[in-house]
Amino acid sequence: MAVSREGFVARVTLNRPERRNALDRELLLVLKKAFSDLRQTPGVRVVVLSGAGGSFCAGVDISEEGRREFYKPPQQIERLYQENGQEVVRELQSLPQVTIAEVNGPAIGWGTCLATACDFRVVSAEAFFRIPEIGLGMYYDVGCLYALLSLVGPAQAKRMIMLGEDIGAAEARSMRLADRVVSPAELPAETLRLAASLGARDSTALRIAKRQMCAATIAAKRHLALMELELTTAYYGSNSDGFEGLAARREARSPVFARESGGYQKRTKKEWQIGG
Amino acid sequence: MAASYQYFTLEKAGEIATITLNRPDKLNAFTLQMLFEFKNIVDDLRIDLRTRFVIVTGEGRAFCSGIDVMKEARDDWYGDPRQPNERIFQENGQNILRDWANLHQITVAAVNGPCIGLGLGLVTLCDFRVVAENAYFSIPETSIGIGYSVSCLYPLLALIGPAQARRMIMTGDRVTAHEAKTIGLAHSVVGSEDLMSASLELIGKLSTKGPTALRIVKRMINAVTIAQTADLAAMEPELVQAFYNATGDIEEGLNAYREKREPRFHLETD
Repeated sequence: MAVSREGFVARVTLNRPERRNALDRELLLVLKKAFSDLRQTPGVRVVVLSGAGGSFCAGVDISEEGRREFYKPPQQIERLYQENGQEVVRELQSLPQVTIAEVNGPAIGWGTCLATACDFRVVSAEAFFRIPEIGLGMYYDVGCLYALLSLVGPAQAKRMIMLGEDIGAAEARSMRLADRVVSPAELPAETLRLAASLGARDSTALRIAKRQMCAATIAAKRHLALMELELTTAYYGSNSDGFEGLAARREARSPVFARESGGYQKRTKKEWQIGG
Repeated sequence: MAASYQYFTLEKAGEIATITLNRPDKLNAFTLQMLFEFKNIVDDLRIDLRTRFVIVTGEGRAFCSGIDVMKEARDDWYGDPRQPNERIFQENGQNILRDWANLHQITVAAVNGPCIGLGLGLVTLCDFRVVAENAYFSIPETSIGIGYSVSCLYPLLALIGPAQARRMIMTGDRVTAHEAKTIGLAHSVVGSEDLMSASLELIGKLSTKGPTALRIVKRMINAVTIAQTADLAAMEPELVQAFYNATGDIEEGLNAYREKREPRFHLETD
């Protein structure tokens, strides 16, 4: 990850282009620290979040190695990953600065989550959004749901989460997921234009407006986020779907998920450490 | 295993960690440095899966006399780049207290003496409060012209209800240990000499219960009480900052307190 500063604009760039900016444990923890520091940096009025290379963020690194890395301290179990993950999202959502996601390419899973946690989304015409989690036997977790839901409403959120459909830039614009859509070449300039107009309007009133909207949407769901992390942890611990989903993906076959009618299969210790 | 802090001791033994506020010469009043140390302790505990119970108590005759309001401490507080103004203090305070409330461990406050302002916030965010009979609780904030904020209000309200919360916050009346038991603030009241043994006995009882069940019940109770007010908490830093700037009451209140005179607060007709 890289943080750069131009005047009152701080730019946070996910910088792992060889993995399409997939989040590993380290990137997640560094991101949290960066947001926490920015919150206390006077002079920064606008924060831009973008990805290096052709992707915004490909989501959590689900390679076998990536998964194994995830469960090293300080997130040695799923519940701690959920807690840490929620904190990253909350830190971003509650920044006093105005935040802009510069969606320069595919925003998948966590990528969609980070983009929706920002105040504005400037989207490349070639980018798309996708939430593949359910197809992998996983859940759209770490408190990502609430911002998406408040942006696009339940019908579109269900379509994205339950069907995992790709949402192209133009469609994202029509369903209010994208605020502006421009060609890839124009993207940085468009982001800067938006940042400039927001920076010029920076004031206590602007910050209060942001807080009020956060309060009425995301923060009002914090009690749900608190239970979600336990529910998700229990779910991953209670069956092998996450493990099966990832294995099927690696083996390029269709996953076979547990049905309640077929009885749950308790996960083995080994699966717990590798999968989900 | 023990970590080293200036204003705290943190001891871990078996499944129990004991945090002791350790600034007895100032009745364990919070400085800025102390608040950030507390954050580090909470961060440590959150990723500590071996520790299942946490006791928090105070060194010396007080549990905690709240935030240090002496001039030097205040100047220090707002001279620090991590919180140059009230809004950022509110944000930091909220984050620390939220993490404290949501620790996966079951937390027990062993209230050894006076427990005031922010000190009361810390203990109302615990799962249990074992209180020494010589302890008392009070909220002096409105007396010096400030609201009872930084997320301390919501857990108090959930514990003792609006009538008692109004009394404590608006009148600043001291609530004794025995009264605290009556209004639901204290789990039990014991002699000073029995405070730690009573706390350990409570933990002994809790340790026989299903650990996951305990944690989930804790989350559920926090969800329907404290987290339900997260929307209000999100507005609070702005409200407090605006209020302080608009009235100047906090400076007047603190000056009057230090000069031992009656404060003259801002009236809308001024």
